[in-house]
Amino acid sequence: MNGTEHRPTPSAGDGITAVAMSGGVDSSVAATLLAREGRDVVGFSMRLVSGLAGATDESARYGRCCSPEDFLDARRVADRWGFPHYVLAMEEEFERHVLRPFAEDYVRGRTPSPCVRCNTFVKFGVLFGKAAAVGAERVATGHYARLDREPGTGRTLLRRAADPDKDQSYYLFDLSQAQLARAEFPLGAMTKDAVRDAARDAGLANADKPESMDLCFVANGDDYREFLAREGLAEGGKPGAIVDRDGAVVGRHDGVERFTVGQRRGLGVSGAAPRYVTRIEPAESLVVIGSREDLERDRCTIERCRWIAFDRPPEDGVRATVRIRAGHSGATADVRPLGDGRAEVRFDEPQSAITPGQAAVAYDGDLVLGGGWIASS
Amino acid sequence: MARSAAPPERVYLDHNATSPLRPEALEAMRSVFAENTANPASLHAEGRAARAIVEGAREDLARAIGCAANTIVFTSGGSEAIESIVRGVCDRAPVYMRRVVVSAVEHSAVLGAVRALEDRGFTVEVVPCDADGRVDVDAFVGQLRRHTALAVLQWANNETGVLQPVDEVARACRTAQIPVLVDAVQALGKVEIDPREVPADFFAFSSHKVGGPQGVGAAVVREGIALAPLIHGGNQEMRRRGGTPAVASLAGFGAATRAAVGGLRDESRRLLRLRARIETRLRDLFPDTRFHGQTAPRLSNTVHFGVPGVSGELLAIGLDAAGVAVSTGSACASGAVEPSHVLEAMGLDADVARGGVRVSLGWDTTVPAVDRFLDALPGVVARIRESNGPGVAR
Repeated sequence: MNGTEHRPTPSAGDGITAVAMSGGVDSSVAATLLAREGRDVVGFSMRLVSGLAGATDESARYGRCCSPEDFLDARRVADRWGFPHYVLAMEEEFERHVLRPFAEDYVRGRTPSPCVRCNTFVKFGVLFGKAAAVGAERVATGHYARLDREPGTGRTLLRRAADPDKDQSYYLFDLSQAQLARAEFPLGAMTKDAVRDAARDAGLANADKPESMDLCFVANGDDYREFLAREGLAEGGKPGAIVDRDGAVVGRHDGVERFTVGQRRGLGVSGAAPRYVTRIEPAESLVVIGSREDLERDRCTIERCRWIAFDRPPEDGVRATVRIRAGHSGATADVRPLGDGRAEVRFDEPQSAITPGQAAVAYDGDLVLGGGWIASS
Repeated sequence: MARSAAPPERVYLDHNATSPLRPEALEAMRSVFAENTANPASLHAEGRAARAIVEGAREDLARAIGCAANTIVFTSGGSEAIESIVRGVCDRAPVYMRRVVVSAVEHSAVLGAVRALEDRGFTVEVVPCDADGRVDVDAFVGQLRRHTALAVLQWANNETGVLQPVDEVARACRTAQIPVLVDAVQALGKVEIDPREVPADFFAFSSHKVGGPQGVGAAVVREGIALAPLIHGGNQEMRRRGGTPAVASLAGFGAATRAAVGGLRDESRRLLRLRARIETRLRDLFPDTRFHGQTAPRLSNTVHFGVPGVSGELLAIGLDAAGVAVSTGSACASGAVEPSHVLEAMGLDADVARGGVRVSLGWDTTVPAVDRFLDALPGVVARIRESNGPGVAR
């Protein structure tokens, strides 16, 4: 039945497959499917965050996921199918590759996409290196995305998942060919409902475990600003002025890192029409606000581009559907390389709140062409 | 690692974590399970037979450590023995006695018990050790000031095997009239225990470290000391530890202790030779191998080492995948490996402290087993070194 079957991926074969297991239902089902197929599986749970400062109760020490209890869930799945499972202490690497850049982006007036960095540097970076110690040849995760092999070139292609609501291809755009060739996504062709059904069928205890799509390292009920302040990651906000588009000062703020483009709340300005953050100038510690119309732009520059479907886009550009944040369904645009790993994205229609620091990912249908990081204008 | 062939027998080199159940212990327990599982407190024949088994185990331990049987209080293990002594002494200490002195390399069972006292106004004085992980006698004794309620020093370190100067320290504590607990959990069955040489007020012992079953241990309380119980219950153990004893497990503890202590000298020599075999080959394979605690007096069964550039966690995982069981640092609640507080106390920096791997041999370790470990090692190290760096090349 479409959407409910797990079809073995092209990279399946002999050799050990490491599975990143958070203890959540997705990675548990991914591991289960591989184990049931008779694959040689080794599960790894990564402890990325522990002993968060200011956590008022034990459950908040570990953020929203990946507590010792969650790892126990992962161990139960491993025991059920008889494969080894290890917990790796990776706080240092997570702080270096994800948390610090997260904080630095905010201080620079950019809004980060930490989940992209986590996939690129931690899950398919550091973790793969460690899994190689047990001879693993690939890392499988519970991500909803699909991989394909291009006949002739042998290039690995990344596609959206079958379930459009769960598709996580956006977060995987920055994986290199070497990484994609060693990745595996057993859930790519399945809907979330099918995954939960599979979990129940397999008797997995966490089949109905609730999941959150918010930042994993921020505890329930906490806010990323408080998190940054407490963990000492953002160097105490530099106060500054909130200005309108003519430069007139309309308010004060405690630090640019507390703001993101498109933000409407927390501006401390009153008035008839709603005001939004349109631009952040970290050097002068300025937050620029404007109307909804002021938020709209028809183009942006993206930098540090990663292309998957080709080595680089054709000189005269390529048509694509570009998503400027995870929650953006995508808008049609021309994408033209600028050299230096940069590209210009020119949308057919103006888009609201194009935010520096966010990943922009270009698609051709369900095929991920690649993407880059939205530059500060 | 092909799954098609039958997996070869694994090699277990983690005796300091748990020493596998000795056949003598298994046999002693099996016969109790089969024949008599009555309550030793009952007045009937079945109860008295169970009582005899418990007292027989007590005699076994008493003979092995040269203490009177009535100084032995059976517990659920080493941690309970330690906790009950720490609490028994400190809960009843006069209000002006609020100091506890411990070494920096104590087991987490000791550190946890004394840290919990800090909430109640106790100061914990942690005496540092040298680069070998050994506490300086004068430094420790120097901390034995007035108002010290309890001093705690381990006999042998679980991670490095390093032996502490418990004889001198125990004598100094007796002179200063400060109660001293010697954590002998890792010493029983490995070195000779003689309370005339080490006149401590308290000892802690654990069954599963000598090849007995998990779940039982003993606190030894010097005659004349009335230790308040941790578990009040039904007056068992002469009102020192309530609760029905695990009769079969105690029979196993006794049998294991007899077997371990009986052959101690010869076994020590045998393990020394096996360990030398390991240390020699390690130096040949990886000339820059660091040995931790090697120049201090050590248990003969333990070697703690690090190969530069190779994380202990990955080495242990890789060896596990290759069928060899060893250990690193200590595990925490989530099961991940923590950096070792023992190695840090020895002055090793965080990176080196994370590189340590502990190999601990025991009664069932053979030459072929040691060789299988040594044969697997180069391949595992090579794989880890190959994969070092940011991961897959981007």
